[in-house]
Amino acid sequence: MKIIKTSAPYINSGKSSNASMKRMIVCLGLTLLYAMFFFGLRVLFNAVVSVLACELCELIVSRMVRLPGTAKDLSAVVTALIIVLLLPATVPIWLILIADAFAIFIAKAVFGGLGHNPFNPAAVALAFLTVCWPRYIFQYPTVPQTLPIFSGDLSNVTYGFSVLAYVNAGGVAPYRLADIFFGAVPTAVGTGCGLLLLACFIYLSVKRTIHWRITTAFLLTFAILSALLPRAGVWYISLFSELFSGYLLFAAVFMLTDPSTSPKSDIGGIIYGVICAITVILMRRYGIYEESLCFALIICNAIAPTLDRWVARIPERG
Amino acid sequence: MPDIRGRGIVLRQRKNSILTAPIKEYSDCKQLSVPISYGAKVLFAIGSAVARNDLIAVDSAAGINIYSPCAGVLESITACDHPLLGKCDLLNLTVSESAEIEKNIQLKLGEGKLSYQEITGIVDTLDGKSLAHKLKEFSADGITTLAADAIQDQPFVCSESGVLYNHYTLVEEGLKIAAELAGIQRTEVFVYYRRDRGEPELKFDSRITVVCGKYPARYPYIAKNKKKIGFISAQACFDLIKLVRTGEQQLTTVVTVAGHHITKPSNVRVPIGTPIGELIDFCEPDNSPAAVIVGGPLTGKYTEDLTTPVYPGMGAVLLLEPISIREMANCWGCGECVRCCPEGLMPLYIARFSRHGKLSDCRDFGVLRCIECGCCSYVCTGGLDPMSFILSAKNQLKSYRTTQQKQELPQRRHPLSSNPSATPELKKGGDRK
Repeated sequence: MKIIKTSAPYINSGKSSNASMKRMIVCLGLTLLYAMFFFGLRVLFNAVVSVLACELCELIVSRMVRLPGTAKDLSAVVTALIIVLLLPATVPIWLILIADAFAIFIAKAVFGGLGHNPFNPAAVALAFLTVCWPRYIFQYPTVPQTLPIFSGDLSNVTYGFSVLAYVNAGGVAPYRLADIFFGAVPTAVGTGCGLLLLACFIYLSVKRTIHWRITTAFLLTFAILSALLPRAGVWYISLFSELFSGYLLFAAVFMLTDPSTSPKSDIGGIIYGVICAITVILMRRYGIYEESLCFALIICNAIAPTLDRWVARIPERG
Repeated sequence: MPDIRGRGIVLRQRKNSILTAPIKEYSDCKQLSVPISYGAKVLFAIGSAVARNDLIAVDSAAGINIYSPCAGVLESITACDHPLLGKCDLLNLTVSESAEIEKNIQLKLGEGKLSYQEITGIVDTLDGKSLAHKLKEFSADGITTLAADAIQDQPFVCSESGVLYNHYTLVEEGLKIAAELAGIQRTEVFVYYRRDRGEPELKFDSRITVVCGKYPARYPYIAKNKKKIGFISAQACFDLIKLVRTGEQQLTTVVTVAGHHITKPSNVRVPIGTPIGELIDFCEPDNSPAAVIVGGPLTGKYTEDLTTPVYPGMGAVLLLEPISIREMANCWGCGECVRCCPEGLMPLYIARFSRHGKLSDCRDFGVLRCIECGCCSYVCTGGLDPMSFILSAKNQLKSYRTTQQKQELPQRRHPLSSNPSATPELKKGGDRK
């Protein structure tokens, strides 16, 4: 018998971070597949480029800080996919590369890598693009149309206004509600299909990959507030168009629940969701950009640790 | 069935087969090392012969009498760093048949009550305290129910529940005697049971209360019933009835020998002081490399020293598959530890602050409420060990409390705080004016 040196814990559950990352990737992959149905192979090409770019950035970072293995944890793949799915299908490749580099280097590596980033890398990258290149970010092609896969020549592509653009202008979007729900309207690549996103939410919640309380609190608060303060026509039309437009639902499922930037406690998570919903409502109403959810998300990320600290001290106060 | 809290972790228990098997006996050891605490007074000179069941040392501080588990010669007294007991002395005894003088003091039941003095040889295997002391405390605290505790909720470990399963009537009788001694009316027997997948369901006597649910089940249950129920171990009850019936003191204890690398896992009754190496050999380990753990797999301690002696309260000797642990810096904040923590703490924050030496932050996050169950380290998806950091912060804070009670911990203040006591530099500037 040979004795091996060890330290606590002597047994563990065997679950790894990779498993939850894989589940996220499966869900993001499904949304990508759905988008391919509308836009053809161009979105797949964008996604592959984005993933490769993010992994390369991660590799460079791990070389720089001499920490092997950070490129293996798949978190960069998740970030890469989220970035691609939040951009329109017509977005130029160089913009995706800039977003990837910004997300990995500035939003993640600078703070110490996975788990130490205070802000969601994808949200930071998107905020950067929104500020610098709003022309590309909010220019959505009409659906369905097959886009050229590699070519940057998009002169034949027709563009349309998104639902949120109509709502922001104070009008009712001239689309059928079913089209809005299934994403058959001009919108970002992965954010269209409400049904698919809700299915992803249920799957990830059941598998305990994401914190269901955050998403539920966020969506409920958002729904109540937008029904009480309608911007476009009757309250239920306004509620529906606000809820299923922009990348609200996508962000609620995949970005708001990012484990490393959201509160860990149950109560903290609920408060976080409520605060985030209020911020989004305010930003959509008074912000200058068509969709300013990423800014709201960054602001709420900043208060997440404070919320946890506040919750931790509740028993002390009695 | 009593309810327990919803948080915690589901653990494969892996002990049904050990529980139902009869307890094996192992007493072929030629060299015993009986652990005693530093303050204990040894009654024999080195080199003198001792008989089995002879009083060899008195630990007056803890109120425990130590009896010789074998007939033999007291060879030496050596210092030892026991993984579970900490620093202690060892009485090294060499077993020799010639010195066999069986002392049989028959206690006379029925002629008046048993006194506390007569049971000072029995140590409660739950916490290593003297049974007599515990019973005295219970009767002083006005406890209404005395319970035999066999709630062992960690995988493999079933030394108490094994004794209960094998000698239920004796344990119950011992419990009744203890209750009579402490003047407590009601008695109850508790066992933890959770059926593994594919294993047959065990039947316990209807008089036994079965505690079930997620790990940790024992600590919350005991904490909840602290004021009403006094818990003593099932083994102590068994030892008590043995003392009353045969006059034999607590000379042996039951240890579970199990783990991934033990081919014949079982409960073994061994004389106190038997080295764990012999115990492992008795249960036939396989030849693959393994980690030796004494105590439970979640709260036990790792040891490399196979001469570590068995003492009452060890519970188990396990040969486990070694797992690799990564550095705490790799925490990616999944929050799994927060979801399972039975006390509702946030282990990841406490471990992070502890790693950076921020004790006041650890205290803010309630580190002193940690029950040391090890759930956070078990579930960690990053393969880290947050519990070790939490424990170090807890111990530092505790020692801070005891040594420097007047001096407060350095407070965490906002940089723009206007409190003058927090910003001594400002005060100095004022003096200069």
